[in-house]
This record gives sequence, structure tokens and C-alpha cells, in this order.
Amino acid sequence: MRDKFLLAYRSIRERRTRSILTVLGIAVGIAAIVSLMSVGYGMEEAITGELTGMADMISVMPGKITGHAYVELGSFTDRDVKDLQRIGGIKDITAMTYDAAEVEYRNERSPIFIIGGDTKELGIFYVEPVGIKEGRWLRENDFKGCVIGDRVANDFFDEVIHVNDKLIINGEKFIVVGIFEKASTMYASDVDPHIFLTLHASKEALQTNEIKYIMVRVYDIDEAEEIAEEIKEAINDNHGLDDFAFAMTIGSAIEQIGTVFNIIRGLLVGIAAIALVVASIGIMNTMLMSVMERTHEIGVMKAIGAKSSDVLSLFLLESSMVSLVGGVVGCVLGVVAAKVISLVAGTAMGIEFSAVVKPEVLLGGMAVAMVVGVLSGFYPARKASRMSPVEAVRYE
Amino acid sequence: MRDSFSLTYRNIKERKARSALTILGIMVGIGAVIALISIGFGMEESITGELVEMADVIVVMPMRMELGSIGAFGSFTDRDLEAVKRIGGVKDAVVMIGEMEEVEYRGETFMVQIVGIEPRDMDAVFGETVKLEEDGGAGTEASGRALRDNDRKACEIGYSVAHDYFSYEIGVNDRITINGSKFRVVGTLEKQGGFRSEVDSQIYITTRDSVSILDNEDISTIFVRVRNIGEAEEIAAEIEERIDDNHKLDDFTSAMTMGSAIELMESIFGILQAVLIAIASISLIVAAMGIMNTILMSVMERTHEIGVMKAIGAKNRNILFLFLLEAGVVSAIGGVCGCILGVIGAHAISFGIQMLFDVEIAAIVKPEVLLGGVAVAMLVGILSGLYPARKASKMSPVEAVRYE
Repeated sequence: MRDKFLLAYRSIRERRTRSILTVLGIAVGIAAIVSLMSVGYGMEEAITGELTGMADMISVMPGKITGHAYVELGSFTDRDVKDLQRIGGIKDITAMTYDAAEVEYRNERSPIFIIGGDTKELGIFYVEPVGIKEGRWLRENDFKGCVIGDRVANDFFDEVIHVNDKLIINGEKFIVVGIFEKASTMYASDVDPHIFLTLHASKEALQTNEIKYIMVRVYDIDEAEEIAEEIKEAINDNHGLDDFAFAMTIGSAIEQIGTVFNIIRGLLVGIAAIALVVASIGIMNTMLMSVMERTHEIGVMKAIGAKSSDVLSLFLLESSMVSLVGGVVGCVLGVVAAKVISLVAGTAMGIEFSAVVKPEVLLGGMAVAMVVGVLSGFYPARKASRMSPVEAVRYE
Repeated sequence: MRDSFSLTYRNIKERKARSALTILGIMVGIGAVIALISIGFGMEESITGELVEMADVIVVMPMRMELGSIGAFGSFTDRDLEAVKRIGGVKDAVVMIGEMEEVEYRGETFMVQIVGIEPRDMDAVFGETVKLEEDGGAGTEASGRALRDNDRKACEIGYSVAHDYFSYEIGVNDRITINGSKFRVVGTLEKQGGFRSEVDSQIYITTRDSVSILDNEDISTIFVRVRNIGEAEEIAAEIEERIDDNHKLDDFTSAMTMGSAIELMESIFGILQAVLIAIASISLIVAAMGIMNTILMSVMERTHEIGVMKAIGAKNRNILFLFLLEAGVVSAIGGVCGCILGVIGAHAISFGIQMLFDVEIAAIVKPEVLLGGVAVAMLVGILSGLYPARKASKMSPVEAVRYE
């Protein structure tokens, strides 16, 4: 057995350029797969990571998602909220309202969406993940205070808005008490273009009692799906309509994102795997050449008593050694490439994420390399083992 | 020159298995790239294709048109419409009045978006892109007809409304109740999906009916057609300004030209395709290594031969050319085979997508892509053959002849 290793090692070393090219071929293929997987996991984590802390939430909306757009079907009533309070397993209910309002700042008027709700709950939902850049978050009795998103402060008006500046919302004066940080991708469309008010103030300013959004927290995450169903039923009954309420658990949203990412990863890895096919063709070629060059040697080995299985295992050993080295090099290259890609793509798209290198991906990469090596070495190795010793010795 | 070719041919033929494997390597790489490009073009075409004939349309809405936007800021007034019509270069301006209403059919109630529109304007809004369903599909023989100006209490319904929303399918001449008044279905629309999926979930009625049954006359969308597509962007900017002025609000209006929507889609597709092709090109790099390996081996085996050629007067560049030719021929064959494989692969993928997702995406094989594929293959071959060929050409004839 040791002899075989030595023999295989010698033969790989002897043809250095050829072996290096073959190793590189498989390394590039494995590196592509490892880096794509790692970048993919990194992106998924960046997106779902923020959500996992909220897995016990159910968001309830009066509308449905058709195709790519959310269509509002109306609004909830106080009765809906009361009915929800009667459902078992619910820890907390927050009702929110939103609507467009005319906002004036230094004689410039612009339409902006206002979000109003319980300050404590809104705080948990938006302030913790996004953060306040300037000033402070709303308090329960801030009837004339508002907190604004990053784009409201910097983009929507010619002049930048700061804390303690006055805004006129639908004719009523409000004082800016806080400004949000620029939100990450996940929250950008929720926070950046909006103005936040207390529930009381928003009802006054928007002249409405309509509830457009209800957030529910459950005690037990496992029950979330059932509770979501119950919520839908209760509200649909209240309104005498089918499919009026849309209740989505954050857990199922995370699952959906996971599924989408699995599909994307599968597709990308599938395309990258083509490189592995090409690399395996390269291995087969190298091994065929190695067998041909050593025909005489094989004949001698067989003449002095080597069995066919010895010859077979010798060549299989050689091809799997080449591909294992390729696999290891590929993993290293892949990890480096993944870090570079995530850095470059992150800065290019303005998303912060880092590649997640999973040990099982690395092990899998090496295993795949080995399998590819053994499989593509099999045909040449069989060819070598089946040679007639007499003819092989005569060769050259 | 002819000698070089016949030498190369002899060489490739002599080492049949090796050449075949090398060709196979580059073939797989080129095939992957070509299949991906063709499928990509097909997808782009299927999405932007129907939009292209609407390139002169500007859609005006009272909202911020961006991802995650939660709704409209308000609605337009008749004064806005008049202002838009007065802008130079505007051929036609059409309004749509839309509202969610309760729709009842055989005891079931649903909220559906009702759109009021002048029937004669429908063509202006949709062009030829939205057609009636060819087969009623709901047991009726025909899919009915388009809405007419003098229709009263009649409606055209989108595909999802007809087939998905209610337990019973709705067909032509069925009666549905919208907000308490009965309407007759005169036509069902073809499935749109994709970019225009909102059409599937809407019910169209005449403006006159909409005034009487909807609570408001708020204009939710204005469709504008311009005379000259080149001016569309400027006119869009002017529309935004005029309506913003009317409402004394900044950024109240978004006017989006279909041309810019198409451009946006094309740029997204461009990025997507570039990423996929880049990943597929990795296999080309691996194939290049295979070619280099093969040619290196070929040089090594023929060291003696090279020595003899040099001894009888072959110049360095003759040798260089000979090996580059070998690499070029191998990769050109690989490229041609790869094109064939790629075209077959693209058709197979589009067939697979149709089977699995019921989405029709035709693979579009462009001749320039095929030519490009062969050219890239040749380039890869010659580049990776360069090092071995140089090695061969620089050999000292004396040592080379002695080799073996």
C-alpha cells in the first residue's frame, strides 16, 4: 500500500506541469462552487438574520398580494382588534395606521406617507434594528412630535431637516424629535421615506380611525401558523368577505426567502458545476496519457506478478490524489474568492454582508473533487489494468 | 501552409482519444455559455417584447413609483387631465378610475379592483397587447367581445377574476354583482402575467357606469400617448411639473415612460446575464487548461520531430505557427460543436421551463452569439496554446534531435 502511494506520488511529480494544470482545473471548478455557496449563504443570512429575531410576529394586512404589488382592500376596525384579543396564544397586538399627508417644510410642500402606532411597539419593530441617528424616539405623550426617516430628512426637501425643525403635516405643526439612521435593505422601504407619529397624533393629523396594519406577537412560535389562520378567519367573518385579511407569519416569510435562496443557489451551483465536468474531462485526459506513457512499466509490473486489481488501484490512487489536492486548493481559493466577492458586491450594491463559509460546504467540495477524480480516473485505470502483459512489455 | 494543415490534421487524428476529450472540454464550456445567452435573450424578449409596442405610452400616477411603495398619495382631477392634454406633443390622454369594490358571484363575495375606462380608449391604453381569450374556457363557445361605448352594466373581466377568484368559473354572459348592481360579462381577457399581471385581477367597466356605481370620480391613473417617442422623457417631466403645480405639492406625480421601463428591465437583465455568463465562463478557463495540457504533451512527444524539422531548415515561427494551428483547430472544432450543443441545450431548457412552470420562454439563438462563441473558443485555444507553442519553437535543434 505504501509502495502504491510512493509510485503514484512519483508519477505525479515527474510530470509536474501536467499535474499542476490538472490540479488547477479541478481547483477552479471547486473554487467556483464553494465561493458561490458561501456568498449565497452570506446574502441569505444578511436578509433573514434581521428577521429571525421577529419570528414570533404575524403581520396582518387588509389586502392581498397580486403578482408583484400589494392591493389594499380596505381597512380594519376596532372590532377586528377586539376580536383578535380574544384569540388564545396572542401576547401582544399593535394596530397601526398609515396614509399620505401633505407635509410642508420651509414653504415647500410634498406628499409623504405617515405611519402612526403605539410608540412602544413601533419602537421594538423599527427603532431597534434601524437606530436613531439624531434626537430620540417618540414618547407616548409626544402629541406634536414626529420622527422622520433618512430620505425625508435628506432627499425630499431642498433643505435638509434637523431635530427641532418644524414640519406642517396636513395643516398641523409638528416638531421633529428624532431622525432615523439610513436603514438597511430590509427596512429601507419601510422606514426611509416615512414620518412616524404617535397613534393619537396620527389619528388627528390623518383625520381617520382606520387601521391599516396590525402586528401580532404570539407566545409560542410553533403555533404562529394556526393563529394566523384563526386571525384571517375572524376578520373575514367580521367583514363578510373571503380573502379580505392577509396574515403572514414572519417565520413563513423567512422560510419563503430560504426557498428562493435555495433555488438561486442551486441554479448558480449547477452552472458552476459545468466547470467540474470540464475538469473531469481534463483528469481523464491526463490519466489516459499517463497510462499510455507507462504501458511498458505496466507490462513489467504485471510480468513480475502484479494483479489487475493492483494496477487498477494504482491509477485510481493517482487520479484521486490529483483531484484531492485540487479540491483542497479549490476550497482555499473559493473561500478567498467568496470574501473578495462579498466585499466588492457589498460596496457596489450598498448592502453589508459577509460570506458565510460552512464547514460542510468545504467538506462537500473536497468530497465532490474526490468523486470526480475517481470517476474520471476509472476508465483509464481499467484500460491499464486490462492490458495484456506480453503486449504491454513489448510496447515502445 | 497546406503542409502545416495536413500535419496538424495528422497529429490530431493520431491521438484520437486525447483530441476528442480536449474538444469535448471546450465544447461543454462554449455550449453552456451559448445556452445561457440564448435563454437570457428569450426571457428578456418575453418580458419586454409586448412593452416595445407601447414605447410611446407614459403612465402617470399620484405616487412614488419605487419598490415597497405603500400606495397612492391621492388622486388626479379633471383639471390635471386638461393640463396634460394641453402639453405639446401629447397625442392622447386617457384616464382610468379605479377602486376596490365588493363583487359577488353565486353567493361568494370578493374585493376586486374595478376600473372605469372609455371603451374607445382601451386600445390607446393597451394597444394590441391585451386580447380577449381565444377560447372561453368556461364552457362558453367564445370569449365574447370587447366593451363598447353604448354598453350599459356590462364588463370585461381579467383572467384571474374569471378563473381563480371564485369557486365557479365566470364565463361570457354570466352575471356578477358589483357593489350592489348587476353587470353582464361581455368578455374575458387573456392571461397576462409577468409585468402586466394587474390586468388579470381587474374588472373593466365603462366610465359612465363607474361614475354611477363607484363612490368617487377620482382619477387613479392617466395614460398618455405621445406623438414622438424621442420626446417622451421631456413630456413626462413636464407632466409631473404641471400636475405638481396644480396640487401645489412637490413630487406628487410620477410619470413613467414605457421606454424608460424597458430600459430599466434591459439593464437588470444585462446584469443578470453577465453574472450567469461569468459563472459559465469558469468552465472555459478549465477547458483552456485542458488545451494547454494537451498541446504541452503534444510538444513533449514530438520533441524529436521538432528537432528534425529545425535541422532541415524550419524557422522558429514555423514551429510556433504549427502548434498554434493545432490548438486553434482543436478549439475551433470545440467551438462549433459547442454551438450545436448550446442551441440544443437552450431549446431543452426552454422546453423544461415550459413543462415545469408553464411559462413560455422561447430560446432566441442569435447568429452573432454563435459566431462570438466560435471566436471565443478560437481565442481561448490560441491563448492557451501560446505557451506550449513558444516552448516548442525555442527548442535548440541539437538537443531536440537527441531527445528520446
